Amino acid sequence: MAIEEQKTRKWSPALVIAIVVIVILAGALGWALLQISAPAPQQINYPIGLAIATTGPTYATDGPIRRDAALLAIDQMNAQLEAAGSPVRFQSIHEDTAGTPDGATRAFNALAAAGVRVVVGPLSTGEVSAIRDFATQNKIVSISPSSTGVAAAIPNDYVFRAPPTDIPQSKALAQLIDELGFTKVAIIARNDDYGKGFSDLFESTFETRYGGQVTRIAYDPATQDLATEVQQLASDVQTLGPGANTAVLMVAFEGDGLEILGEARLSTVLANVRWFGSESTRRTAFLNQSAVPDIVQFLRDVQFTGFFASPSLNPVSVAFEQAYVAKYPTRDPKKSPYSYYSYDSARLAMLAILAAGKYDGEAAAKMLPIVASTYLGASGHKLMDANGDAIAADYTAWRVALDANNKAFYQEFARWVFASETLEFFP
Amino acid sequence: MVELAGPLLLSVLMGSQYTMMALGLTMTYAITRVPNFAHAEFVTVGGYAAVAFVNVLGGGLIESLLGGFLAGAIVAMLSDELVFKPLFRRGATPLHLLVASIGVGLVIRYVLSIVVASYDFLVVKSRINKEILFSIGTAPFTNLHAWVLPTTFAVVIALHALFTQTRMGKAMRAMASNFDLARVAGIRTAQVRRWTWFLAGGLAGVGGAFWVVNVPVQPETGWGLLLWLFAASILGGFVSFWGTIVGGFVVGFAENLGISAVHDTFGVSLSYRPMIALVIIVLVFLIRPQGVTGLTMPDFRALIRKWFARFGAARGRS
Amino acid sequence: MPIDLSFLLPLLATTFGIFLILAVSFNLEYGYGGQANLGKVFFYSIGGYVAGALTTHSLWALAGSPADIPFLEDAGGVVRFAVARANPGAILGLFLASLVAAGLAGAAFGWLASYPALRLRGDFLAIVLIAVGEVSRVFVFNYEPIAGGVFGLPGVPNPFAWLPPRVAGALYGVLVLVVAFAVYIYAIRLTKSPYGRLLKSLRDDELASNVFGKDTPKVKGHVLAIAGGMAAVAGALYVFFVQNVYAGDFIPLISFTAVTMVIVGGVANHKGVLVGAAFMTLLDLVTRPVFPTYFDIYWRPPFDMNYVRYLTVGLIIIIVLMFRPEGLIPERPVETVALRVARAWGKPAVPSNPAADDPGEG
Repeated sequence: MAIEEQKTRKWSPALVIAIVVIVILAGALGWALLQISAPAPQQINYPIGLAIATTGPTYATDGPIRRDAALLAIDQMNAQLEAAGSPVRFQSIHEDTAGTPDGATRAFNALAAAGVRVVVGPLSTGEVSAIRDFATQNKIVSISPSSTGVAAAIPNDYVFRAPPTDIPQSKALAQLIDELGFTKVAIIARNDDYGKGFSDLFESTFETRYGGQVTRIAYDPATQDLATEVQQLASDVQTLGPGANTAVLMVAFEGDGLEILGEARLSTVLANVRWFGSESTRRTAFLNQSAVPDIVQFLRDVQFTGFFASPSLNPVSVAFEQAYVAKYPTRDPKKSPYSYYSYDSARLAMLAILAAGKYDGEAAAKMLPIVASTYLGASGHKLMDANGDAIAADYTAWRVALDANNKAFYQEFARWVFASETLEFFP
Repeated sequence: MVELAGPLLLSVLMGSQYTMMALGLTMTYAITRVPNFAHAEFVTVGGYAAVAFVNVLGGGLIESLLGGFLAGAIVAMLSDELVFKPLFRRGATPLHLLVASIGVGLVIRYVLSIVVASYDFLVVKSRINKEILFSIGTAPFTNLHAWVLPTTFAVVIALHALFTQTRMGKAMRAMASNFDLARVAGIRTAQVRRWTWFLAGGLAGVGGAFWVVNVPVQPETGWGLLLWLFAASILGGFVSFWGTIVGGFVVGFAENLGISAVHDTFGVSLSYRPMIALVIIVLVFLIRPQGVTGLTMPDFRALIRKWFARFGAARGRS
Repeated sequence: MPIDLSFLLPLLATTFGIFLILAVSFNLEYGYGGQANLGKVFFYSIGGYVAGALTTHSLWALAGSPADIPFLEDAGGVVRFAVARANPGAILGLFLASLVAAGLAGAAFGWLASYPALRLRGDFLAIVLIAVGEVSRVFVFNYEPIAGGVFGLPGVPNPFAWLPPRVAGALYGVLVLVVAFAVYIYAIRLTKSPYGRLLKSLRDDELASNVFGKDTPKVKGHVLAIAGGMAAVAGALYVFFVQNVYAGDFIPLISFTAVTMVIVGGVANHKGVLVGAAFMTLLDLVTRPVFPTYFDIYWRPPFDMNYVRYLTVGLIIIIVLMFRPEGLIPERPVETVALRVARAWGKPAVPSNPAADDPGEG
């Protein structure tokens, strides 16, 4: 193999790297020690675990936004506590789960080993399923800001969820699509627990209740180039008959949504039908005029429509948005629909601990539904059902339109009333 | 079938892109014996650089390609100078280098993540968009086709010329075939290494630059492509230049035409897409353990004859 | 908050045990057998699927197969946990049966893998095995009947679930260590035996082995079968730890972790695999953002600590390789009688080459 070289150079690359690493680590350690202010004599630290995925194909982009919203809630609360003279401070510990059940389990175990008994997260339904028994048995409260799968709605456990399940939204969507006169829907959905769960719900409602016809295209969520899938979608639409009765339903997140829309806008077939989207597709990234003007135009042409569970004129939502922008000037909380839920989840977690008067998982679990029952947050009310999931409220329907300055925005044009399951169109 | 015209055009496009990205992988393995699991990160780096050149610095296609090339090339060269070359000099086996490359990949990916996250640049797409130039039936022929296909073709021709006509290229081939002999013959291996990695990373970076015309880039972009790049390279036995090209197109075709055909004929869900290319790889290797290296027409006929003989023998035995 | 050892120790024990088995498995194939099995996660997943399927379906049957509760969803999981808690004998029995079944299934697939292993060159084999692993993952992810598809299969209870949770976790950690050490000792005995020397001879010079009449294909098949069985046992232990089966957990990174442990620890070296597994376990823990809080140090950096974490893991791997490319504990010659005698004479024993050379074609 290689002939051994005499190491005559003093600064071998290995040495350079080692020195660099040591300097970095020493610097970080020193900086860290400087940051730790000696706690006030009576400061009580309550740790809040954040089991929020920030790596992995699904959450590399969404995760950081939700994490930041939770951190905002924690910092705000600490400031409020300080102003009120309370010795309590909440400390955040953010563990990445990479969006997998394995990562979630390890994160929860590692957090539990630090004495954490209240966790915001995990994000996906699959992760929630994985940690459910561990959390319940070990009395660790888990509040998920974005799990909406029906499969995880279980009573008497330690898992709580800030958003309602997908059931009411899928019903609302099916009803709206039917009332607008469409009888055939071509679905394109990401093939994970969220996409499949939502599509299954929608399909069964749309077919059984409204006698409609549905085709499905599922794509692997890690796939980056979705041109083939979009072409198949176009061919599905043609098979269904590209008339005025056919619509498309997209169930996607941001990265895959951008790819699908980017491909779809090139297809005349797809540009000539109405498009609908799940709640997760209500993204400001799609309406970014400077970055993706063609997509914005496309969304307007197809009158992209969907539902959203949170009433947007809620003053708490507005306050949250302003605080977020003040803290992270270059970022926009509206980029992720779930940042609002994340903020509320963190706040609810802290309020439950404060209401319990001590840091204890069992007490927090008992106080959480009580605190949530009268809580109005950035994502609306959080009254919980027996499963610990937020009861749905009304949903507002949005569609892409232009405002007075010719800027695209999500215009609300109808409301689906949860109690009566009726649609009310705004004048 | 006219219906498959769309997937066919897509296959050609994706095949070209995979080829461009995988050529560098083959080069670094063949010439410097590093199975580089960090190769895909060069693609990611190239993609981000391309977007920066276009969206932030206001350049056009050429600037983005140049930016992608340079970014990928520099990162690749640094990886070799700092990690792979020193390890190689100490007698590291390919498996050692593989593990080291995993470490290098992690470093690149997460340094990149930290940097782009702090600039709010985490998921970005180039302002240069894919547009349809004309359609063949329902199959769109886009500007991306018009750019990528000639570029890949040019790259292949240029590399071929490099390897056969230039001294540097011949030195590379000498190193690939027998490192010690190459040194004995007076080839300055350190310099050849630098050029190899520079080119390999640069090609990956160009692949990344084209990638962001189609699709937004995020820190995990490259990592998601890695297996496909290895699949493309492996078909060429990891060392064959033409084999990599065949490999790239096999992967591109499997992923687009293949899955569409299977979907249309058997109703298989498109979510099985990641499987198709890999199944083909496995099958190819079970049938022909050397991959597609050194394949000529008589070889094809011999192969078919051998398979029939094997079936006959099996039947005879049972 | 002070460190809570009742969670930490079981986590460390379980992680270390599973890593150890994976490392032993890879070391056997590569360090002794000369074949780099980069598709280790495939055999690992086989163990997981077998254990998961056997346990969930058996518990379901024990619960009377309630038709109104969906098998795959969390509600089904809740039923399975309840049944397990009510029937300690059942879940313990199922656990043991799962280990055995997983081991057998892994061995069977390992034996099957020897067919391509014989015909393919080392690096081709590596990619083919990675590809097989990914094909399997995508297939199981899409095809629900095996492991719940995109939803996963919740409700694979810890065999001690009928005990209080901390006790259950701790006992399971101990159990995993016991199984891991059993596997480890088995591997040591295997490699110190004449069989082990046969493997090494195969690795160092296959042609010479053939000349001496050793049936190399059969031996290679054996090694892959044994190693496959070990990896599958690790997979079974894993699913009982996370208490669910999810195809998306079985990613190539697990194979790479096994490789890293062996390379960093020292190839073909029994102390080496211990060191490698311990290294990986500790690295995983120490780089977590939660780690400083074990010592009541709370700080929030202006960037995502998890990025730094993965970055640090990468850097440390590179540094270890740079400074000790032969691994933290290099290979030593096999302890034969002759060697011991020679040492006793005071003559320096001739060290065999560390496994830094190409281990031969696979």
